[in-house]
Amino acid sequence: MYRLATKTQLKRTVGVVRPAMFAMRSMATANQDLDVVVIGAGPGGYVAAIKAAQLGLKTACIDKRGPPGGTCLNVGCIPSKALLNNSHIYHTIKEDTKNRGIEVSDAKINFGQFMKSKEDAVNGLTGGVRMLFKKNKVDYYEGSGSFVNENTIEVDMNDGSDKVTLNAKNVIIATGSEPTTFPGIEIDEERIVTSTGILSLKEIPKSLTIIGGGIIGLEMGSVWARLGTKVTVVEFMPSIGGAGMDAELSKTALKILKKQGMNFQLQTKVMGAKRDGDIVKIDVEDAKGNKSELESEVLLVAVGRRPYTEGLGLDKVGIETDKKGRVVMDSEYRTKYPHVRVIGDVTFGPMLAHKAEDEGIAAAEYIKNGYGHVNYNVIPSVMYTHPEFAWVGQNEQELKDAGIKYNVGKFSFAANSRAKTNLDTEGFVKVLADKETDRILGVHIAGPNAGEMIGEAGLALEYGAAAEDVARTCHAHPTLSEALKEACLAAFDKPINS
Amino acid sequence: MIRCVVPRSAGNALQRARFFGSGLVARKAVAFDMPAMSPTMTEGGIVQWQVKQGDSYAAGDVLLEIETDKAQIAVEAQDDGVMAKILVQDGAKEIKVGTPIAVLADPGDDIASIDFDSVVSSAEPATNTTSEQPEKPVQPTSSPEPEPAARSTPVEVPENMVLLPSVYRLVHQLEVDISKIKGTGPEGRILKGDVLAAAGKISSSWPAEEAKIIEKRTHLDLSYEPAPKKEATKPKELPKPVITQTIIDLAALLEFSVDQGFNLDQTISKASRLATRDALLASKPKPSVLRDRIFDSLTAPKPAVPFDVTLKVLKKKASPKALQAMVSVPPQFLNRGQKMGDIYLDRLAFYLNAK
Repeated sequence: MYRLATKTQLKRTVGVVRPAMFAMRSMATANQDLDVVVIGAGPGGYVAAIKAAQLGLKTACIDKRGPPGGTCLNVGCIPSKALLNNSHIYHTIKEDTKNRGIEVSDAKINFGQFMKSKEDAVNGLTGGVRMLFKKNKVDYYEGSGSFVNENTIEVDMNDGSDKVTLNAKNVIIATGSEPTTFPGIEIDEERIVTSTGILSLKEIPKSLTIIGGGIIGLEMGSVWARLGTKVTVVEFMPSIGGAGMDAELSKTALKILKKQGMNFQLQTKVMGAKRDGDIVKIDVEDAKGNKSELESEVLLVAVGRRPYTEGLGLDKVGIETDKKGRVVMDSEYRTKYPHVRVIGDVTFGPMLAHKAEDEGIAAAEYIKNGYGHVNYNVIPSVMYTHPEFAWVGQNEQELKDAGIKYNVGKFSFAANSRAKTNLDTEGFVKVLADKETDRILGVHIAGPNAGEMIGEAGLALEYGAAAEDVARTCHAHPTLSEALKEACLAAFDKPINS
Repeated sequence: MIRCVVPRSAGNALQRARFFGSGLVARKAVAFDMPAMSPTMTEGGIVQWQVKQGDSYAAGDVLLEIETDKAQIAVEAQDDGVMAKILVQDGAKEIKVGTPIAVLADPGDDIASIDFDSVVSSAEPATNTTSEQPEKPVQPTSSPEPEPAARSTPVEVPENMVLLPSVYRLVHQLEVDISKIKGTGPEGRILKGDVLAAAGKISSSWPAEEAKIIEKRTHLDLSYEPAPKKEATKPKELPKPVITQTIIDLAALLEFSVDQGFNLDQTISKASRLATRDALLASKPKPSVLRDRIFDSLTAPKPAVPFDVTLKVLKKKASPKALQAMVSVPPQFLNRGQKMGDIYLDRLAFYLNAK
């Protein structure tokens, strides 16, 4: 009866995108037997669901946010990059185009449109994921999924309709992470915000203080600094960029961002913060114990993220989480139940969308084929400031700790023809290769489009290439990627253009 | 004026030393050489030092201004440090690139204890990479392997074997028998290091040892500290339901219906039913224009009432006078929750008074 109705319905609506209706229809099934149920439709979950469906498994995906795409698409990577790109264009027009012989008068921000363009990007992409679900015949449930037992997931639908019960041969937990809060600071997402609230401020603040000089803090600082906000970053550690960043990259970032007008208070502890009307007051204490109070219109708390498993009912089935809240698993993403797997931010490893995606594919492949592949040595990191900072493999400190002797091949974009023609020459490529075998161990890039270029470095690492192998690979001229080739040349021999 | 950052000549060694724990490696002052501000610059003059002897400076500060035949350039410091000694003073001209012009120390170094002579002599232009002396022809670095000879004795490479470019070069250059080499690369691929090891150019065991270190990094570290026991995890504050409440005066209703075998409970429950229906209808997101009500009513299940209603008749001296109504909408409805509650209460009052 239900099936028949659905068919008729789909026929009647051919060619019309009606996601809400689609979801309403699927809820009519009270009980469904499935091969795979994925909880969470973020970059890990939706990729896992689509891959599983492509492998011929009957798959459903659940997400309580409503629009699929998770943090990444809705309140993370995508909206932040929209703001970064548009603020960069604005900043370029204001500060830089004159030198290039382009005179633009009266460039100004239409804030409503500025934010709308970000929302359009988000809506376009989440809509795209819905289409992909449809195309690959993944049932998408907008609701909160929780374990009834290890084979049964109950979905509490967002629209208040009847609960749906899914019987799953396999479950993939991909519930992601949420911003870590700061003890003693109450988030209102209006004046005291997390990475979510900072993406949808109502106006350009005059001043912004950021707790945490990691990638999220620095990217968001860049956005608002370009729009004219006075930005102050308070960081507890003596360096910025977070734990994995090579010390030289981190220093370069600090220097460049300072030059761009951002203020930094390093080795400074935040003691607390309070909203006072339209102002936030932040108590800080520097390394010497001097206390002071900062005031700004907005405070961004960007001190990291933590796994998110709320309402999932892990307790009910006895799936273990560790001290940090990560769901415990083995090397094939299995929890204590072999058919219940876990991927992405909610478990071990770096909290990165692309890491979750690859795990999603591997998890689906493990289910179908018993084999999957993710190389955790080759997971790139990118900071999308301008210039970008990107790296893959080991940094100098890690190599020293491992006792590996290495050569450093460095090439500056000031000597790269394309960077020169673009008048965008800040930064360098640094290749770390084994002193004896010349095997590439890490690549660290500060420079224009570093995030795009790091892909090639990742491929080199994945294949065990020597610096010479990359140096002997033909690179197009004039491109920024020639800087990577030259840095590889520098690592085992001598660069040509330096 | 152009601004330019020039890495310290001995900066690399210093930087490396710095990151090793504390104390083990003695900090060391380094000579600061006349920097090459362009690939063609061979000599330049010092316009003015911006940092005095003994002053400390931060990364990014301008140390001095240099004059080349083309421009005046400000040289910025790469790291934080202290100007230990200025060797070449303002106004000096035609200083060869690579000549030490100052001695730089780390912040906190004891400047009095620096042996300036040894610092300067250890950084003589001859050993310095930035000091290319154009008059000297560049020495060929590799050993004179006769290229034609390598070609005349072709090395056998098994047919369907695809070699990395570096491996291909070395196999021919060093005349190594590739079939005897065991690859240490991913999936057993033969890497440059394997050929070098087979030819005795590097330690024979290192490629395999290195591969093991890298292999370890390809897996996640799955070690963890177990979560503290249950007692510690207090019930988390769940998102709160949206609660709306009001008190409805029943005086009018009671007055009107006092003598007709009237059942208050029934009346209230009927009004509540109608109000619920209205609240659900009115708070629903706008349906698509393509939606067919009749079709939906046939195929879709009846929506369950998504909120809880508590109704309590307040008794004043035995006769009921007012009704306390409270609606609790679950948190997942977000801002629709408030709307739903408001509509319910509004409609409830309406139905009760319309009676």
